Amino acid sequence: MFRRIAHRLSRISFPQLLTLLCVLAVFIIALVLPLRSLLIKAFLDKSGEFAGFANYIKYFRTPSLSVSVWNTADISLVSSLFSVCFGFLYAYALTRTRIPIKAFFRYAALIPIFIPSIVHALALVYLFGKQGIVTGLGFQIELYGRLGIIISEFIYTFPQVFLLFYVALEFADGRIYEAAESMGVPAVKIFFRVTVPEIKYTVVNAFFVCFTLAFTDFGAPKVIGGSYNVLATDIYKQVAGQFNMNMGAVVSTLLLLPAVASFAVGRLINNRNSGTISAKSTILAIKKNPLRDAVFFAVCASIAVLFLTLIAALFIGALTTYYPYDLSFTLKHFSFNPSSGGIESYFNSLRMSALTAAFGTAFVFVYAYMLEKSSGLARLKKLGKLLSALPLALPGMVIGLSFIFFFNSKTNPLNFIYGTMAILVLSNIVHYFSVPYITAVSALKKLDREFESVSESMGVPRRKTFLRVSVPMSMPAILEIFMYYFVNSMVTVSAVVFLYSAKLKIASIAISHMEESGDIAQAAAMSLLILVINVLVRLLYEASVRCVKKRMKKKGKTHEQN
Amino acid sequence: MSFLEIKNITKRFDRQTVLDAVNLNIERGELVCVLGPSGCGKTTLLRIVAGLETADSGSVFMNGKDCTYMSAAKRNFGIVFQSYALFPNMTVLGNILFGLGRKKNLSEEDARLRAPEVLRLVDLYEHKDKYPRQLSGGQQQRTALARAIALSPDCLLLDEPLSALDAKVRSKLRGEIRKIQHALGVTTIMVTHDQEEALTMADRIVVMNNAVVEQIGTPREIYNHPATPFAANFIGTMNFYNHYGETRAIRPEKIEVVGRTESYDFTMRVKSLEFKGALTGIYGLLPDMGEILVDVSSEQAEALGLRENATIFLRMPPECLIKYSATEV
Repeated sequence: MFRRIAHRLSRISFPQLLTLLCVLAVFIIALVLPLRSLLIKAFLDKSGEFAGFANYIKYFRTPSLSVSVWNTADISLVSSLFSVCFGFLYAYALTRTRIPIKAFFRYAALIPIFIPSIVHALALVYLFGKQGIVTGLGFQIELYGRLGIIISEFIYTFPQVFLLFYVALEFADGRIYEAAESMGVPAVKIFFRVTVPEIKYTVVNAFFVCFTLAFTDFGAPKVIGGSYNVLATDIYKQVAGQFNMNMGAVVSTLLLLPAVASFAVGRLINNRNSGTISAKSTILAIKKNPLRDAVFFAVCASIAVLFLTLIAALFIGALTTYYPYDLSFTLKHFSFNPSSGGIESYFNSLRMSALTAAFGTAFVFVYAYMLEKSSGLARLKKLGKLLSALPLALPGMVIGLSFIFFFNSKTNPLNFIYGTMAILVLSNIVHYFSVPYITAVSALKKLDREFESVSESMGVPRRKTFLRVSVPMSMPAILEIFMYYFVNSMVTVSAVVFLYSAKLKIASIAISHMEESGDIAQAAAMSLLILVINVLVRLLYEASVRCVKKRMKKKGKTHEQN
Repeated sequence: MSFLEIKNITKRFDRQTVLDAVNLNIERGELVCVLGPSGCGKTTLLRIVAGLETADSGSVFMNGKDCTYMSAAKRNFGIVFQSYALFPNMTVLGNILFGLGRKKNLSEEDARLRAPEVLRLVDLYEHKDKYPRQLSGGQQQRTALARAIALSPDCLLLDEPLSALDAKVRSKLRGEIRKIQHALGVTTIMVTHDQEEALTMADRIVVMNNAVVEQIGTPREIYNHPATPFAANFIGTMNFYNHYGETRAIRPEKIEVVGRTESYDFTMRVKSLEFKGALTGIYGLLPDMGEILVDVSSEQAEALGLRENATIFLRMPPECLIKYSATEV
């Protein structure tokens, strides 16, 4: 018996155990414990006594507060419906029709990803605001309030929906469609009986993703919401305006509701989602149909034009002297007021995003590697898998607020990171963890399970196998994770809005401050700077992936049959 | 004392017993095939021997030394996996050097000389700068073999090494692996589900089924005297029939088709004929005894003028009959 225990211990590789414990510890410190403080806070009164559900009762009995729940649900529902509809049409057009300039449309759809959600709203102000370009043409809409938020959220969520549908529609098993056609099934019926069942889970998933994003978004309502209150702006008002931390925590927990619901639905769906594409699938040949293509082209073009107009509005705003009165060219808006953060904030953002991308990528990849490829330690790995999905359910506001409660506590030995770059980077790594994690896991799953066994039998340490085999083989995924972290950190507002310090402002927050103090042109200029760097990083990413894949292909050119 | 002694190894995954008190001795320099259907526990046994998996109980001795608790790295076993697990981002040479750098008893100089040596041995030297995906299946297999033997292992472990290859390459490589194994004199354990592979390559065969060892013996012993009905049925083809409460078994090619005037044991009506090239299979029903297959040379079949529904006379040479008690079946 003793021998067997000693053996068990000797079989556990301590470097592996230590690494796994480390990554889990980071996760627990940066996610579980802060979340715990937040939840506790929601059930305490201002003096720190246990209050049970008193805060919640008070919240729902105060109409001026609880109206936000319905408002938020309302705008989320409407914007999600639009987003899902148009996201689907757009993706369908790019995958199943023969419209021209598909590559252009693909990039156009992603434009909103590269700028903070504040800026979507800001650009709308330029177009539809009191002195907006479109307004000037005599077309007036009630921008501030419900309508403005809905349009903003539509823009914000569209790329996500589009990507989900694009992936779902990209690969179709041509054989099924050929079989249906050979049986003389009409096209409409094929669509509803073949295509729709293929993507029905994506529809549900896309709806929940959208709803959650819109439900928890802070940027757009902040700029364009006017007197239309939503939960995210309420939290900010409670915490930053009235210092009512407990009520802030209460609202934060409400913010979790759609994520929790979608999580439950997601689990149900994923269990049933089976891949129908096999190696034997043939590529779907798309038939000619000019009418169909014309309709879809119109849909795509109008959305692409909308996005490009937003960007054009930013350019006009940033590069003209005093829009709309003096339209002469100027660069003066790029000399930012130091009071709202100045150009410093831009450099801070760059630094923050680079650090987040570097540390985040390393963390995510090691985390995924340990869970996928380490031997033994089953229970720890189970915990790790459970934790990995948690950030998906947590909106930035909730992460930001829980970080305050946890790290700003005087008794926390990690208190010193409060107000520094470290806490910003940490919050971003946690906030955007889940998507990179999935990317890393699916890349690692493609690698032969026996690479580790072979190395072990040859006496090669795991570290060397990791660095010499797993990392180079997963390079495209690693680059993707890096790019994802960078771009998202550049545009994030929600988590960091509670965590930046006066000495350490970042660009997305600075935009919001400029907008607040009326320096709209400067806000537009800053947005352009963010856009430029994000597009650059994206291009760099695509170039390097192409380069890596080309090199892999060269090695992978299958031998000629002789 | 055998070179490798596997004593009473038991292993469970969850509630399923994968290995149940498995005992096996392997002599220095021999090639032992562990043969069994998928899921019989043979790969797990190999992984336990390799040190990649831990047995729940039992022990493994090497040269009389208990190495049950030794890590895979310290055992000095070379392993070839079913998937080969060649590192796709390294050349053939890179794959071989990857493990060589770590060998404590090998200087860098020796390591550099060792790689070309094994590459020549498996006849891959001219392909040394290619990447795995640029190689054919057989070449990939030989690369994996070269990588495993480069470290001069005390024991070579092959996990279904040929199963991913097509039939022609497979039979060619059988001979090659055997040749290399002989040349190096390295003790080898090979896991396979292919009886032909086991019969042609092994010095001894270990037949496994449902987590237990059914029989251990030379290919001839196993073929001619299968200890259990499972072994009889799994290796080659076997006819079973009931004879006065006793189960009898006989190989199809041992049954003789004789003329009506000669002494015979049974008459049988031909149900169908199967031309297999050198042999022709005759399927028929023995009265009250079940279906039976008789293999005769195709020349004899022609000479007999066999056709369906004809009645033929069979003789079962007593020395070829194997008897099992009814409970074994």
